[in-house]
Amino acid sequence: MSKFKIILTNPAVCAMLNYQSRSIWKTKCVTRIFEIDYTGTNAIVVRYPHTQEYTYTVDNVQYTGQYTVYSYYLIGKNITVNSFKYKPYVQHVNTYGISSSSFDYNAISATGKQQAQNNIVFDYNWLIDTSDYVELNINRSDAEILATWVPCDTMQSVPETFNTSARNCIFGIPVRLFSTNTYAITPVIFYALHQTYKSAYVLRDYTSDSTYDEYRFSASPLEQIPSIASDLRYLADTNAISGALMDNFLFERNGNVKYDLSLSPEQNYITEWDLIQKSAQTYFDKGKPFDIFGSIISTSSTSGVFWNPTHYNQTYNSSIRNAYTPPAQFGTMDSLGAGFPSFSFGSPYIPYENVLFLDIPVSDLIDESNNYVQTGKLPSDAIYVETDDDGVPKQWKNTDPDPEGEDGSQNISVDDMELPSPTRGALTAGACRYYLMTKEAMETFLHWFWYENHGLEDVFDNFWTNMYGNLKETILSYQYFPCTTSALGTISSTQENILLGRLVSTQTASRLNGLPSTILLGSINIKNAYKHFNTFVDWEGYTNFQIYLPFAGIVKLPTKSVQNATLKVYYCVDVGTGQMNYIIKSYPNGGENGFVVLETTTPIGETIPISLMDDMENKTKLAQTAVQVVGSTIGLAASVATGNIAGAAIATGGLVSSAANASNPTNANVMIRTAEHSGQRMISGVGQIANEAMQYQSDTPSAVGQITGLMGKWSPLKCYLIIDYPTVDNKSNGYNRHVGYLNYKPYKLSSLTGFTTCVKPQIDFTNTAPLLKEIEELYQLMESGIIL
Amino acid sequence: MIITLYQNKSDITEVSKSLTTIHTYNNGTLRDGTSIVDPTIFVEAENIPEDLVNYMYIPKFNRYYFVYTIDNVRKNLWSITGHVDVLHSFRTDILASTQLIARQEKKRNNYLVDKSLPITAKRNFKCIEFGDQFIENSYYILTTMGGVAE
Repeated sequence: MSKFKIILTNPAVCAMLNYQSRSIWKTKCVTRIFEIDYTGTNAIVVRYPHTQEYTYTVDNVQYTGQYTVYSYYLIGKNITVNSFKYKPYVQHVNTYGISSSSFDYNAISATGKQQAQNNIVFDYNWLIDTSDYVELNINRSDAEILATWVPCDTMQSVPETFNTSARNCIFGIPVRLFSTNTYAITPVIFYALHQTYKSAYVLRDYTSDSTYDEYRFSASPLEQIPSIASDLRYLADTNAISGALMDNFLFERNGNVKYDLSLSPEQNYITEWDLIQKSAQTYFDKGKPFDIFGSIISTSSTSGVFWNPTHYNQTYNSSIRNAYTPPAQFGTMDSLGAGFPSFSFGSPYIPYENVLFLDIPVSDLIDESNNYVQTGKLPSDAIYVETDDDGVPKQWKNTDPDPEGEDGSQNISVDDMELPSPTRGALTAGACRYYLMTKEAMETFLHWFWYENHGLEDVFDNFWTNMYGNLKETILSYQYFPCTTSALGTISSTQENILLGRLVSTQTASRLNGLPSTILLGSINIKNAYKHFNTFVDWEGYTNFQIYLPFAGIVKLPTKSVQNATLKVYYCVDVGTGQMNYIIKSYPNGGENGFVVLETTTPIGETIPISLMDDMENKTKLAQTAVQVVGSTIGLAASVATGNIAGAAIATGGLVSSAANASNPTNANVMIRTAEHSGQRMISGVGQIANEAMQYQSDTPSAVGQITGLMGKWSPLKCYLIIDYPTVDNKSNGYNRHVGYLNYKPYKLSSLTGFTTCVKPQIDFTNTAPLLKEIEELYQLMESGIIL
Repeated sequence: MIITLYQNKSDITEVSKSLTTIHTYNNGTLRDGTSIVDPTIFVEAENIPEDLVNYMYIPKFNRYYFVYTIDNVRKNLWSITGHVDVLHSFRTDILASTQLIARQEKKRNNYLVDKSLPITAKRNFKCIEFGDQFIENSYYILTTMGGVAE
């Protein structure tokens, strides 16, 4: 009889901690341990993808697409599963109390909700049960429940006022069957599986299913797994879906692809918060919290299998295959099968982030896995994690953190660089006035300005005293800002007469009378989802981060400052100059303190000429800006002594001279036009040089700006994080066996196995005394590589 | 001199060889002019399975040897030339020693920059949208001089 283990973990916590430490692994990550005793030989776990078509409707807007989930199959020669034991590691603490007698074990009613509404919140604090394993022998139906309930293990907190707001409510993966192949499930679920560490699950009694038409999920019948004979298949059957390692994930809205999440598995994140929040909030606004699962926890003595200790001793004595049949006590409720969820990605040490198979190989290659069953030859991609006598993966022991920080942990101490809220500036100085005007109001004003008689008394006064001067000179600018009004400043509550120098016009408008606040444009978490290797390749020189900022272009970010951090993009607008300032703060490890990694200013205000002088000034500014940008970039390029960069600089020489000539007053009239029309192309070319130069520069943030806010309107208006990382192929080519991984730590050689090279070996010979010639040969061998 | 012939299927750089004993002879003699490091041994035997033997142990020297050549000198007399296997011969002291390990097959210091690691030119890209979108505003800003009079 053989035995292997399946360890389910909190993916977010584990990913954050990188599985580096046994102690952390045991106390923070593990949520469930399953032990499977089986007889048979050449057992292997195969991960197999199932692709599904689906439609999804929010507020009568239909989304269609497909996604792929993966099932794990245990295959082997003459495999029989003898027992399936469950060992909980997490102590469930009921923080909020059980207010309803209809539910037990951490189920509570939401504040302010009536029983009929049955908002059920499961709350788990991440406390570890220090007692020994509680073993559970389960029947096959219960095995299914175990699988489908796994996502709920990751609940951590309950929204404080979730009866009025969705907040962080996330919905668990178990689904409610409404009709054949129609499930209540939303993309929220998938997002939840990646964001679980700060989420809660809101579940609802399934008896009110008739009210949930808007949230239905239609899945096509699953494809049949083609290559594994049914008599060899365990853990999950053809109808079982387990987990949601998403792939091939497409959102379509009314036929148009809106979100393409067809990325490699480790990259799959649903970033469309609007959709998520909207679906949740809509539901909560209706007072009918989203419902995806039935009353799995009830007063029934046969339910609550997962939590009720009296059910921990059920006997399992047959194969758990075909375990997708819903347990009787849940009526029409369906589940996702008997497989084991995987919502994550591989790492150098473990097969999949939150589903760890120990003491059994895991492969994605069905054909090679079948061959393994017959011949014993492991698949080329097989990952085999052995445990020691303590049940701890040996590989993890090898990667225990050391004080030198080679485990990838960072010594970070950040005092928050707080963004101020200034109260004094051009807007409040009193010398100028900034009026907020609609297009119609401006037309009225201009008509008054150019054509209406401003009053004979004023005219005569001005003729004799010039007290009003040239009114045109009192208009400093007329600008358009393609951003929310609140970004421009605080607005007076009343309409005021527009002042033109000393002249109080009869035209009125609201006025900006206070400085704007810094506005958070967006944030993105660059945590472990973007660490692909857990090695140095995730860092400087190998993995690069850039960010696209509306109106500013693409800017390189310092990898060392943004990896493993949350980025927040702030902006503020200075109406007086028409400039916008971007501030990007990095919050390492998702902490509360952040530091500025980039600050760049770019034009956003579009100046609209209302006099000839305005137009001339605008064009001159345009040319001067072009010259400055070109000049600075050429300086940058020139500092990089590479042929490509130099060539690129030469190639733009014409543009440079054109821009320079444009700044010459004698050529201004002609060259201003040249600069205006070629400005965008110039910036594009210059940007290319700058970007290329940056790749060879030290890791310093830099920006490539637009000339005017006018042009930025035609560029994307949201932020984009651009990540590129290399492809490392060190597993299939035997790199570790023939070259070895870098280590540079002292070891007693008897503790090592495999290829090893030593640095300046030293040996005390206590047995046979070698000759000098032998010692020299021995040391040479140890330096070049020996096999232990 | 006793000499034991083996078949060695382990890599020559393996410290602890996996050996299969072929035969032990008690009549070995060290050829004049050879050394303990590269000895040539004469063995009287009717036959030596040349296709199997590639390793030997000489207890008198307390050393293991790779067999270079096996020559039939004349009938029932064989010449076996070897070179000392310092790894297997001194494996006890080797394994008991503590060394600074430069490279290792299984133990890895992930965050040391390994410039030998094969990194292909193929790059993987991701472009992730986030944040709010800049919106079109229905207002224009008129800036005028004249901030004194109200």
